[in-house]
Amino acid sequence: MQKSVIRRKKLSIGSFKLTKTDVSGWLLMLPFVILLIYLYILPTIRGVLWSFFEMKGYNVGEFIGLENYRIVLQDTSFLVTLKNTILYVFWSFVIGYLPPIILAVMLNEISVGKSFFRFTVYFPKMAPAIAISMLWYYLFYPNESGLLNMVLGFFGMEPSKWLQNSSMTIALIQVSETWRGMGAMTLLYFSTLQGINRDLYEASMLDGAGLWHRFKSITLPHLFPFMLINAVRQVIEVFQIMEQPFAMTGGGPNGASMSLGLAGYRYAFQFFKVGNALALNVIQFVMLMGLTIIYFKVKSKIDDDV
Amino acid sequence: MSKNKANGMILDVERRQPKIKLVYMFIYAVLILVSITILLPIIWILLSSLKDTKEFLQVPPTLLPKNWDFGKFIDVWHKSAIDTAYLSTIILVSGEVICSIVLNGLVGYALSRLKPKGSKLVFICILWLMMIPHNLSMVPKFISFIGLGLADSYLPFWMMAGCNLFHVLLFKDFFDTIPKALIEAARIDGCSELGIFMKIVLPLSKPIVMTNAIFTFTGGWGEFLFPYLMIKDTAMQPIAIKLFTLKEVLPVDEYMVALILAIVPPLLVFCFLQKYVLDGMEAGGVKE
Repeated sequence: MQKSVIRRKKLSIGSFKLTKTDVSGWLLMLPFVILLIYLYILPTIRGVLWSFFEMKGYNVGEFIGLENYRIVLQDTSFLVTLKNTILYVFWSFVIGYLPPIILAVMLNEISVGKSFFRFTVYFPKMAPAIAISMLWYYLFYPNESGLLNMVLGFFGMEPSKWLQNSSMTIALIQVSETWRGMGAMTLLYFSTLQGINRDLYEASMLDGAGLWHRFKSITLPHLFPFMLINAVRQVIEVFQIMEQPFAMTGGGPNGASMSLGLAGYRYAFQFFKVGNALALNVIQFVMLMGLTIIYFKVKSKIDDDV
Repeated sequence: MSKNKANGMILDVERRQPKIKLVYMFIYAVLILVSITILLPIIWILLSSLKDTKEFLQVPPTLLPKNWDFGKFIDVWHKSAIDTAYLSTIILVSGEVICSIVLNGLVGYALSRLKPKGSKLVFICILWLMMIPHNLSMVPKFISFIGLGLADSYLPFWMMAGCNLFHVLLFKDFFDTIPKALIEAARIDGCSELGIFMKIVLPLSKPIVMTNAIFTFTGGWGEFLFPYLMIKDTAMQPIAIKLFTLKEVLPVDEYMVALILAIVPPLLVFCFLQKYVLDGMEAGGVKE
């Protein structure tokens, strides 16, 4: 009875009718929606808009068309930075893409010690990222007291310069990133594996299929969509890398680990050329939007299949 | 399905085959090796922190510190004002946790249960905004915060915590599982929607609230770049920034102490509440 009383209270504006639930629903969402506009939508629009203006400090000056873009693109370091950023993505795949998948598959096989290993792999992800960067900065300490040089010394090898060696810097930063983020990815794959119906394996075994065959014909096809999604997501994430080189190398040695994100940061907050920073960010944004669209295409295709 | 039972390709009947035993040995060898690579660096900074600078830089290096100088923890704590940094971080993070639970939770509730006309648009917005690159919005966001006079304030961070898209989705998914009848009953009793959320939905949602609180806590504890730009008052700087600035100031062995002091609180949270973290992590992963 009373339920219908509540439902009957309606606000109507012309032919557009709002129930009480609609009104209270929007009221509850109001603070969030305001924040969503203020923190996400507005800054993105402003970022694009202001990249066409001359920025005086943090104030908007005159419209200068593509001048900011010209400055950024003609800077000799642009291509190097772009190449570095692609290298970050490349190394993040070489070093970090397969281990979580392999670990998850292994973790799924065992029963004794499972919680211990789940705990340990996820462990570094809980610590502040900056602390992990600093930790690795000291592991890579270029004289003999760094942990890694201690290990090399133990095997009678010469100490390495690690991060100071410009051809290794990006790969090593990705080693530290893999160390930190591997556990989280492992658990994601692990929970995906939990969804496989065990009867499939049983049927497969009765057909005489060995472990490798079961992995190839059941496990891998089940994981594949998630592997695809995660690959795209990893490209999007690593392409924006900024804090790690900022903390570990400052972009050095000699710009060897400078990423697009860090270059944008330096334009904005070290050289105070906000217009240039925004132009660079827009360039990066456009490149990534392509990937984001691919991400949604892939994801909606997979969601349809599942 | 129990998470601690093996659920893999190897079936129970095969357990005793010698070939399978080899596979198991290989798996354990790899997992133990990975655990060592993860734990070794942590143990190393613990040991290094107890050495003095001379010993840290000594050639050949020592494995164990010569004298176990635990007094150094207290020295560094006082000398580097870690207590102030802890306190600022706790204020910063507590605000973030409250804002995150209330604001994101409300939206999750509205999207899950009330579904007001047009809320689908908000939902689609959230999905898209989660994926678009955030580098671009950083500088304009910074400028508008400064314009509002919010430098040296925690308010921007509380606002950002109250608008965490990922957490909204986690909340929504959880609220989808709460029985409709409970909410209807409260509505018939004349409870307002806010009242229903506070008195009925939140108390029923302890797991997701805990997961949210823990992730917000550890996230806030480690937040670096934006606080680094916004908070210039040293007394207000959270621990992550302290850690970055101390690198230039402290000798390396004392820096290791600071590093440990920064890492310990979130790790303690993880040790005691790991069930919520790991379950939340996996639940989030499936839905993403």
